[in-house]
Amino acid sequence: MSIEIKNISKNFGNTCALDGVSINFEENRIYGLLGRNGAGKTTLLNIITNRIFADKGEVLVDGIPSMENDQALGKIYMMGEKNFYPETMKIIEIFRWSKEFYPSFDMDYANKLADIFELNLNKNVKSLSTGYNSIFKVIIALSVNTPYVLLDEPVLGLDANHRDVFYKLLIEKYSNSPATFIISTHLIEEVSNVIEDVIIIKKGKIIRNESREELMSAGYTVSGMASLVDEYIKGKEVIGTDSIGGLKSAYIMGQVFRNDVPEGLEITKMDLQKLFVQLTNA
Amino acid sequence: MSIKVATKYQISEYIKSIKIFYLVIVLVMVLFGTLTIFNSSSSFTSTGGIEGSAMIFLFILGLNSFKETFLMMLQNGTTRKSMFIGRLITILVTSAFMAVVDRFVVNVGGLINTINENYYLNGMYEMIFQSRVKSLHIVVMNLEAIIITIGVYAAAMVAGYFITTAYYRMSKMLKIVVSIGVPTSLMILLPVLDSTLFGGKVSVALGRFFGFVFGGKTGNPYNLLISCILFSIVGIGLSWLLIRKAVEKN
Repeated sequence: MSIEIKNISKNFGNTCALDGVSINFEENRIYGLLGRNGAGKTTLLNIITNRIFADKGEVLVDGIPSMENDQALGKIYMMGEKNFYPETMKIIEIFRWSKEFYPSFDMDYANKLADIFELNLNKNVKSLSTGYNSIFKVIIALSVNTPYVLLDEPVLGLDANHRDVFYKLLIEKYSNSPATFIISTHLIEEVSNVIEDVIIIKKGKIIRNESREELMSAGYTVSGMASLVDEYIKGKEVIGTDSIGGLKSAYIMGQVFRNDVPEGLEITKMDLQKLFVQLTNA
Repeated sequence: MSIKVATKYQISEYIKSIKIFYLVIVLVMVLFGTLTIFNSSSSFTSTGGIEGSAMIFLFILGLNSFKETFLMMLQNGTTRKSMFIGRLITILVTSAFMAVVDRFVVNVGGLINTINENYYLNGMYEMIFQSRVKSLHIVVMNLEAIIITIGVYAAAMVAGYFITTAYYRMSKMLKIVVSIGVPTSLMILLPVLDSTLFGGKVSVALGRFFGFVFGGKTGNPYNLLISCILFSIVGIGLSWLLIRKAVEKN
């Protein structure tokens, strides 16, 4: 049971959006699909959900080609950054239609989430703020109960409180009824505690596809007095530093040898965002 | 399952508009009916007006039937094929429903006419095929009128749907070219060329052609029905060619 992406390529005019992408999204995992603006994240999600067509390659959902296949597409829900719902439609009506299109949609749970987010169900789509536009789609995504849920910038416009609620609800949902969640986002720091696997896409190509733990073990963070840190990082592959007063943190690629670490320095895990910036900058 | 839900959704999109349309029709009928009762010098005459209005209404409905639905279907994991089949069923159901309602309205108008001579409401079928109406039993005539009207309504909706799908697929530049080019060619260029180069023969030929196609010339309503069916088949085919590779452009 998986979404299998086989050698997908997509060009928009002279721009190559995806170049021979192959990935397997296994069942019941939370993936972070990370990439800079224009890297091809949304294009990939749009191809998976049959919104656009690939120039080459195919997508299989549980072994069934997803292109123009109702059975395969019925297993996927995509919360897109852009709104695809009729602007004059009330949220309550959208919930009702979601139930029609996805019989596993949990109306009670959706209503409960609407209460938590204080979403007025009698409002229509066009009257919602950017944040609430994301919220109503997030609610559907969490209530739809399809085996695969694709979230493209799910926290767009959400304030810190609502973002916090969303991450908690996502983990709760995943714990209670596991499904495959693919989260495409720019807020890497926030999502890093939620995702299990990281896929980094750069200029239409997959440059990393591994578990978060594996990826994070590619480097480490060293913190302490600036002078000690500066001494320690000499000759090492430093991908970034942060300084506050006399304290400094350095993000270093490679394995740490604890015995070589001088007294007064602290070694912690690599910061995913720093690693992402390093991997996608060049 | 998907076709069923896609059809249900697309029918639901039309319900509100159809209710408003018939509310206006009823209000017009009641208003003018009341006027003819209280003012004997005034009269109300409508020949084919109900069906004519319905045709324009359905054409506009067809014109507004693509983008929003397409995005909603994509959002809800429905294929273009299911959406399209759902649309065809919707067109057929809507055409049939309105043809029956309009026939009922025309008959009600006929009944009112028997008690109030100043109130005259006739159907499109009676208008075009006057001689045939007299030769048929009233039940057969009504059934035939309904069948012909379904064909006409469906063709109007298909025409609107084809235009809107074509516009959706066109680039901005092509939209401008078509929007200016087609009306200019038909309304200005063709008549000018016809009168200057062909001495009006093109207009005469077109008149004959449409007279035959619509059955008015021959008095045969089935010419009109077959023309509408053929027109719809071509429109449906072209629409499908446009839809099968349509992508979100939101």
